[in-house]
Amino acid sequence: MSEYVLEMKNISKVFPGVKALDQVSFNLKAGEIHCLIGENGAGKSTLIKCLGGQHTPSEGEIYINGKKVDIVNAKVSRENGIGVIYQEFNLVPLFTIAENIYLGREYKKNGLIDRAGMFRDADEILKSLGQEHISSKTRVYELSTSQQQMIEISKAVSTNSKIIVFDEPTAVLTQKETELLFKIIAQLKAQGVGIIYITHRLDEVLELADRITGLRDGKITSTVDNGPDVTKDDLVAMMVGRKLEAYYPQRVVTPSEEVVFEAKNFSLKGTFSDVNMKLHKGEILGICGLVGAGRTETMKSIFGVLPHDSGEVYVDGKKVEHISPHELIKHGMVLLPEDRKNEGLSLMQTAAINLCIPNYDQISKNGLVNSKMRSEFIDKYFNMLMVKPALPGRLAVNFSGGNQQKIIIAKWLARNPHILVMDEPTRGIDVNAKAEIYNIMNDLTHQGMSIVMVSSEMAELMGVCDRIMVMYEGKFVDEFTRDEFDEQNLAKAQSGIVVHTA
Amino acid sequence: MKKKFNFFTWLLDKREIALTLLILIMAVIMSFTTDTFFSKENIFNIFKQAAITVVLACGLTFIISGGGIDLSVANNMCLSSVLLCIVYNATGSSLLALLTGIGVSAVVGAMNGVMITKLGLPPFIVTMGVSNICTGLALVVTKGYPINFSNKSLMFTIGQTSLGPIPYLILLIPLFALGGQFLLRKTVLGNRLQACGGNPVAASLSGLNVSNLKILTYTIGGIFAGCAGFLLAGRLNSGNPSAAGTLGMDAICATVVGGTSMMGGGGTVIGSMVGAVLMQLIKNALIQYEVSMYWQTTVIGIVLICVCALDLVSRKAGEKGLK
Repeated sequence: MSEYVLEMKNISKVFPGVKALDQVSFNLKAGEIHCLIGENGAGKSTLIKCLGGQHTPSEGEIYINGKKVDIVNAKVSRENGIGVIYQEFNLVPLFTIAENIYLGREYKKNGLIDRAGMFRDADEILKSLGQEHISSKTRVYELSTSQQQMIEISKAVSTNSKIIVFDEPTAVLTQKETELLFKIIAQLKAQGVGIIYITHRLDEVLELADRITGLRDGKITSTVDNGPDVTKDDLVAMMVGRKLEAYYPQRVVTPSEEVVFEAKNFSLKGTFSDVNMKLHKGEILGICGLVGAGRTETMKSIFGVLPHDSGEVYVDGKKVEHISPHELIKHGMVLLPEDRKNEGLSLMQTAAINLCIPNYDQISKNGLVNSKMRSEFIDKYFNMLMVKPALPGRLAVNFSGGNQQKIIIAKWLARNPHILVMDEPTRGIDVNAKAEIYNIMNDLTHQGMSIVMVSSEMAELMGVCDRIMVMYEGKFVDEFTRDEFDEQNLAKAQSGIVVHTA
Repeated sequence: MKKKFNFFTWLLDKREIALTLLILIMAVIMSFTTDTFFSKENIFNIFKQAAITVVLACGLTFIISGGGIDLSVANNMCLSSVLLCIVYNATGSSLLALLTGIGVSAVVGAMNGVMITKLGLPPFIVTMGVSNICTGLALVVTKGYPINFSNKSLMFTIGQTSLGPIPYLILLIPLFALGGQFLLRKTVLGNRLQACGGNPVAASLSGLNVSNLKILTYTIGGIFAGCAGFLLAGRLNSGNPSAAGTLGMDAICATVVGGTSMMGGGGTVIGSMVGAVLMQLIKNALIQYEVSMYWQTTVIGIVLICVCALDLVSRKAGEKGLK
């Protein structure tokens, strides 16, 4: 019997033109949480898909409990006690919870499907995960995201998985739901399940991990035991090979007193209330708060995407009548939405088309698109933001997250805005691309632009912003200037504990 | 998760019950407001006319809830009805004719499935092409004329006679619907077919062979179309190459009205049956109230869109109720 429940030896995976994994060796003990970190495109997902049976490795061997196995498909993976909880859930929305849990290995009675048995056992599993308030007869589309994740975990538990992989599980969860998830992970660990945990959130790594492995460009950088002496800087070094300081640009702009944007007593019943905010020329204003605090909704309302019940918006001191995206864009304000892939881009069209969509007035004459103007326009903005690869004809979906974000920024810069609202501009993009985005933001303020940045990453807000406003349950509860930035105080404020007694 | 019981959303969830209620209400109203509706003759007629749509819709339930669409079922049915008549006239065996009809339609259905899954062609295009091919072939083999057969055949018995007071065609309606419902809901296979429609990725990650299961849905749809072809021959007392008419669209309407989601994954065969009967009842109502029969198709179209709109509204209401 081997010490490890899982050993992956010298795994390589070659896709046409790319070596996604290069001689990766990775192992996992029973009852251990092994965190896997790395930038986007480092090969984490590929490695996991080799475990889950979605990819078969080009080279290398996988041993489960010391026995060599060939994981050729999802079924073999499951039969070997591996449960993978992918970022995208794989559930049938119109099916009940029980039908989802037992899909592909339905209970049978006299040759027919035994739903009663499935409901009974699924209820047991839900109960064991502390979810006895959910009936397994509920249809999945009625569940919240975190509950759907619970069903994915139930699936893994129901097959008696000895190895469970979590791929960025907290990306879609609120703080409270995250706590619940961690409790369940601890419970699984106590039962001797080996857990592979992938995340971009370094705090979580330090909190959860027994061991940590870094992956870069398809190769393992190092594997370390977690302990009090391991710091975030160490983790970043494992991913990118450089320290955190170099990461945020030097802020040299001092915002002027001039107010370019103001919202007064803005409210939407049940979502946010009495929002008052001022944005100064050349300023980067951070909006911090927990998921569900109403940050995105507030920004969308101010921009006219969502309705509002009361309140006023002023741009350059002038009141904006009939708040709508159309009107605000005319006033020189643009919104880069949180949901980049659905709201920011038309993914199945080319980068060039995405760039042109709001800018046809600049590339057409007499209502006809001028191809020379079009190609000059595209080249100009591709170069300005250094979109990589510089292939405007490529579909937006095929660019990395960071470059997708650059395309979105580019298309709005062409409208010559002076106020930019960026909602989670760096979510899900890798460290290097983040640094590039920060630099772009910094440069823009040099040119006199003002930026509102909504983010869930405290470190990034503190690194980039001049001022941070904190939202809690739909209200701005606190405000910090740059010299007051302090992670603990910000964390307190966003949990509703007042720091400033203004 | 304890939700307040809401009769309206419950009804929308149990589509077959809601539609049955609607049918009964319509029937009661028509019985009182017209002289001709409430007669054995008329009611039998409604069901006899609905029978073929029901059988087609039963098959379509598998295809649509399996995440596909098939525009060729009615043409497939016609081709099989023509061929089975030819076989009957050549051999004198009704059983052989039946098997030929089912066999031909099953093969056509399977070919739809293969082209869609293995070649990756869009279902809409494939089945539209196949429907033309079927009609074309039926015309080729018959040179455009209906094929008659003797009244000693099983087709004649089923299409034109009764068991006691009730025509065979009507007796067969629940038989097909219950059989289909059993296959879809009570067997593991049926569950898996719907899973493929509901989320093919999830199904495949659960170890299911999604391509093969999808081909199977089209094949099952074909088998039902073959059975419908047998009934059609009996009802028309001939193999008619151009009898498809609007039956295919009617069957799709019936399936969707009956609660099968065009997105795949949900739906019941019973619902499709009730949907088909409702469609026929609406057509009959128009006749009862002396509306020109040219309005029939228009009304069916309106009903289809209204049902889908109602569906959307109820789903939005449901989402709100969750928050």
